[in-house]
Amino acid sequence: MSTSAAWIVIVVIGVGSFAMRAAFLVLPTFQGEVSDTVKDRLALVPPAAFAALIAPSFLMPAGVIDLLSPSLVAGVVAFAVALKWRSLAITIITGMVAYIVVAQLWS
Amino acid sequence: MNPRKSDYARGAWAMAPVLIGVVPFAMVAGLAGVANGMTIAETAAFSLFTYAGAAQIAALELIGDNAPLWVVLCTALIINLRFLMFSAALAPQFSGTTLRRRLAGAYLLVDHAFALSMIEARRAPNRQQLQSFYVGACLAFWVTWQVAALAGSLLGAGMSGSATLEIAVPLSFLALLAPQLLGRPAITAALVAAAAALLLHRAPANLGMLLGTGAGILAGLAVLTPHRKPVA
Repeated sequence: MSTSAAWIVIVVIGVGSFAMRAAFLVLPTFQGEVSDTVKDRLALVPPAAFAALIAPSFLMPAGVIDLLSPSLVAGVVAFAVALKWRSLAITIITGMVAYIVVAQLWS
Repeated sequence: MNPRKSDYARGAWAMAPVLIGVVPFAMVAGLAGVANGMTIAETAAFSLFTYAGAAQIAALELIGDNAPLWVVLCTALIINLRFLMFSAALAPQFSGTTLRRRLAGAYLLVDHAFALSMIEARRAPNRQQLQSFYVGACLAFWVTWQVAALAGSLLGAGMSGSATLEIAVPLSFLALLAPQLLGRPAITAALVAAAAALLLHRAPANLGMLLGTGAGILAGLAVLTPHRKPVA
């Protein structure tokens, strides 16, 4: 690609991404203490966002629903581990081990 | 909690396990730059300015496919629309701080640090502690991202993606999601968001994720009991 096109991509996406990150953080949207009601509502953002983000990776790793994929087995194991031990490291490592084991068994 | 450890260090330490998945992801982003016609310097600038893996990789793949410039720009920006929601959710912990801190907090905002910070907030630290925790987590991520992305560019096509490492990214998000599933509103939001994202997975530009998130939030709001904290 041409140098000018590359820099348009870099600058426009860079500035746009920063603007979205800064929209509420930098502008004084919330002054002083935030009410519990608002906090409760904002607390819905992460579970919704992360569930939407990862659902296709685990349930349709190849673009169609697959209930026996190594990805889903790894996800179920990791989820159980995450609920039980609440440790990021243990969850990620167990999930990767489960993925490797299942991928080996299935192949 | 070890009182001698600073809040920055605690944040960075909390981020450490996530970095297992971030290294290969960042390397793919760096590789995608040189593989799709950017120079190493341009790719590094893209990582510095945009600093968002999913958007960078999508934009670079479109460039490689000779997509029109406006499609490249719109796709990346739509993928990053989620930052608007994260920015709103983080705003309370940054209200009343200096402009410099808020600018830094905004530039460094990434999904994982946002999630860690929301989990940490439940331990009810004061605002200053929470901000330091967040910045520490962000900096650990930022340094790892930039170094690994540059390494990916330099190694170029000599590196191939591994499925085992690719699963590390969704696993790290799953590990961040699980502790947030407290109470009926949060669980409802997650289930509806996941179902909607699956239904919409064919939508372009990651719109499935964005619309799924919106559906999940609306469902969560519908079951949120007014004037009472959710059961936690």
